[in-house]
Amino acid sequence: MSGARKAPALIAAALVLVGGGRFAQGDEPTAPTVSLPVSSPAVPAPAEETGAAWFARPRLALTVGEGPAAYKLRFFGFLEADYYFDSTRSYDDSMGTALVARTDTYPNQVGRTQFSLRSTRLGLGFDAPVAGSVAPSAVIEGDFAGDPPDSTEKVYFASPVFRVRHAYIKLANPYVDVLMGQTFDVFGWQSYFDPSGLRNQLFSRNTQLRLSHEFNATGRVTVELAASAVRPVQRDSGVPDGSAGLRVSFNDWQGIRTPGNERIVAMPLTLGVSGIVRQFRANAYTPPPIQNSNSVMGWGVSLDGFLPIIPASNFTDRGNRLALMVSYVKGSGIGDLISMTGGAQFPTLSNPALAYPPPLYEANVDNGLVTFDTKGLLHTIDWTAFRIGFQYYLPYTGRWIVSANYTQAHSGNIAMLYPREGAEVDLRTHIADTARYADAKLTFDVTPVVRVGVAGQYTKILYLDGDGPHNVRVSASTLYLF
Amino acid sequence: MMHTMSTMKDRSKFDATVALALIAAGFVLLVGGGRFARADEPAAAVSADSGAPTEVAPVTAPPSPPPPLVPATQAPMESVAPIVASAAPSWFARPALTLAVGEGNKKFKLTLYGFAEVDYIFDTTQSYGDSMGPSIVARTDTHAGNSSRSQFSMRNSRLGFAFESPVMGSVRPTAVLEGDFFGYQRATSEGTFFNSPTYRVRHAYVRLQTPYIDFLMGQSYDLFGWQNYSYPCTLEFLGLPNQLFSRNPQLRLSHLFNAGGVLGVDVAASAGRPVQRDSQVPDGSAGLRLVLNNWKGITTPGNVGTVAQPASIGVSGIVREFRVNAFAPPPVRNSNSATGWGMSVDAFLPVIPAAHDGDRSNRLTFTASFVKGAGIADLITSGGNAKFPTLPNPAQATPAPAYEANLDPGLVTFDANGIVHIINWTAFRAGLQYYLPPTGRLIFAANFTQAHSDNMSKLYLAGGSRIELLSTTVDTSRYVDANLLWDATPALRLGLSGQYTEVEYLDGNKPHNIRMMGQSVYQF
Repeated sequence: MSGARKAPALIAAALVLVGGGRFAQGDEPTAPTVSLPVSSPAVPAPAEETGAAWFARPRLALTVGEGPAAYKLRFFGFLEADYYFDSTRSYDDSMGTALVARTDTYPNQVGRTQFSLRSTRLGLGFDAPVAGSVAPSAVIEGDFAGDPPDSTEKVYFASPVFRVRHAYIKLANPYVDVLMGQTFDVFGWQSYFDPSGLRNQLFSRNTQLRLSHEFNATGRVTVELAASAVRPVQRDSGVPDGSAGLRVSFNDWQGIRTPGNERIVAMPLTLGVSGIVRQFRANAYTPPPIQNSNSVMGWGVSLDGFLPIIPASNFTDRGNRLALMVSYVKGSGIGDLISMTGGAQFPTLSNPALAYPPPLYEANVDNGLVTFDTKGLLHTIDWTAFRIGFQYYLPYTGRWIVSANYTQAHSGNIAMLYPREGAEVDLRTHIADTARYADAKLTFDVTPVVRVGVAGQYTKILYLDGDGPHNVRVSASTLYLF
Repeated sequence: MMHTMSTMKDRSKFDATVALALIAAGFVLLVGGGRFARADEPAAAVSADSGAPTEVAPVTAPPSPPPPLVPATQAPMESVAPIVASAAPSWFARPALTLAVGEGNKKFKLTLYGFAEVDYIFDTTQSYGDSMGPSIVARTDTHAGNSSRSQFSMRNSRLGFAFESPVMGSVRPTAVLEGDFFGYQRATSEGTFFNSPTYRVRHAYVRLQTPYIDFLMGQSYDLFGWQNYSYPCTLEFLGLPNQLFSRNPQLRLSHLFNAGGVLGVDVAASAGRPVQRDSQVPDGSAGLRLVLNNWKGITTPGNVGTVAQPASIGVSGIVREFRVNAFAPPPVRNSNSATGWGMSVDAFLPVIPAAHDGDRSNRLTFTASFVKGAGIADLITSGGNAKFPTLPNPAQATPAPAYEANLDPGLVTFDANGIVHIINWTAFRAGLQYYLPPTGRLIFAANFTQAHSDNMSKLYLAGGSRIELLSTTVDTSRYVDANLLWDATPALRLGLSGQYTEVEYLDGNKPHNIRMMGQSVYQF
């Protein structure tokens, strides 16, 4: 909570830079990174389209109409098959925010094998004719990770359900680009900095209204400002989340990067700073019916960088290329944004009268963001996270890629919020304040559309009572990109 | 792996005994010591290599076509090696909706396929959703067993994408993504279930074809049962009750020997999604299939995708591991292991052969399948509604201790001593498809299936606290249908169906259900 006082100042500074808006949110459309979504009119055509290199792969695009009145539809995405082995029974196919099973439990002693295609992705990108100075475009993209968790194992893996990842409209114009819909948040300038959802990494998509502008887009140094109003983290707060951000790109200093496991792109050296503020209004920590609520403010600041150590001239120039990605995030009440909540949950209500059934707290906010102390006071949960990673494209062709990442998240106040004694002491055995993650991956482009890879991933958790289990995951994957 | 396949190739006799030996050898070699190898086949093989025929696009000529209809795997393949070859365009011809970019041998293709379907269903009991699946008929002594139900559904509508990309060296990459609207919906309202269904994956796989071995990575029909080569023609949604029918993520290796010859031999092995992830061990399958390329018949797998396909007979097997949480109150401290297995013999026999896809008048085809195994209920659209018994509660604890199952129900259970047992099943299926003269636009199809478990009744005791399970568990299930389909246009198919199902509960109750079904399908 102490950081909460600094946060407003940082956010305020960002807001001033962006134009004094309230709840502004920096965000960026994903342009460089995300192949399709971003590109539309505003984004230059991906190098893949040039057809110049071995990697060339023309877009699957359909055009109707002629010249400036043409409408375009692009199909994009990939099919992905993943084969996982874990040394513990802690995770589904996606690690998400789950914790490693404690060392004193059976699930920690036995492993698990999973075959999954739920990361398979399908997207449609639309471009419509420019009207006046406005270039309208839209993107809808989804994957198959939409299943409710209560289905059977067979249904979960063999009949996964489509869900939306991105669905937005973009109106690009010479003055202010307007983005309406769901895509990566501005907070963290995520689409520029490897949004792959690793543990402890800033990774979030939300419905938003975003305003942005790139200054000197084709010059040596590009500056982008963005602000957005985002889906409230808690609808009952009544107030949208607000984000703002500043991004600087040095266009003459390009590097190669692969966002997640997708399409490889060239991207200039880029630095970004962004912030977010959000409001919580949680039901009072009393037995039902609800009579009032407690308010508290959440916040976050993120510094991100993409640094081409061995630069490249364009996206096909991949032999012996090295790039570094770094991110530092600090905030409170942002567990949902950094793939780490520590397993935090609301304590159970006291039951001095020994009522049966015991009274239950009716939460109106997602778990892991805020909690109540022993006096019933509401607190946001603090988190500090960082990530460092590199991607090396081996000589001579760049078809072999070695990458590695390290991430860590730590909460400075979660241990203080969950008491060391009393009826709730049990919570300390399944709430963690620290998570570490490391991975190494080797991928190979068999053809311009087929990529295979193997990876090793290590996760370690520190529970509040000192238990420190770890999980080792070994995985293999195959992708068909289109 | 190669060694295994070579071994299989050299065999010239394929009777059941030899087949069993081959499967066994396959397991040992493929899984590296007898652990869980799995035969499987992509389905494409045939047409792909041979360029022949079968899989071709249901309709016209285009190469693109729909995997689903035919063996899932085929779709992609076809594109590459234009199968069709079916002579002059027939009345049934329907060009594929293909988007191609790039030039010459650098061409990338995307084909959209699928169908919009609406079903009007009336049942004499309240036993089933729109799809029968493994559900059982409600007992005669219940209200549901004496009341009827009507359902209108479009959830079987289907949308697929087939991708082809340029050959690199000797590797031909293709991919398929296909889904329907049977997505799982948690405890939803009737209105949402029927009017706002969700899209879910049926097939999603990458295929790399080479002159030596074809690789299939992703989800498609399992190799076990060589499933999509002998599917029944019916209006009811596949799988029919008691039918071997399953799709799973897998890694499959296969090769079709003598693809263009009179007798092709298809050999495949795969590692599939573990039936229970906590077992840690992938399911293993292996299979051998003989293909008589000069003896073709017309087939309609399910209700659409009518094509010509060569006669074939296949044998396949599967092994799978279970590591089940011990039958004790939580927390879980240890587990019990058991091994499941299955063998399947499947045949597609053109009684009155056809020359090509469009040659449909007065054509008769017979399909058959026999499956035996243990712990395979999820694969045969059955299961008898088997559940885990409740834990004993001698201390009268409140709440009562609940068993924490770490696998899907219906595969294994515990006896009164807490010992884990896998549930045995034997199932068979026979069906015919007759394409009436003079055009073949009118199709009559009928099917019979049956499944029986010979150890279910021994696992659920006739006395004690678990006696009520006898009234909810079934050890025998039968299904019969008769179907009439008519192609109003090359894209529009209408159908009527009557279906009879009967089950036998462990306590002797023997209810049945009659389903009447009307259907309209627009294929693209």
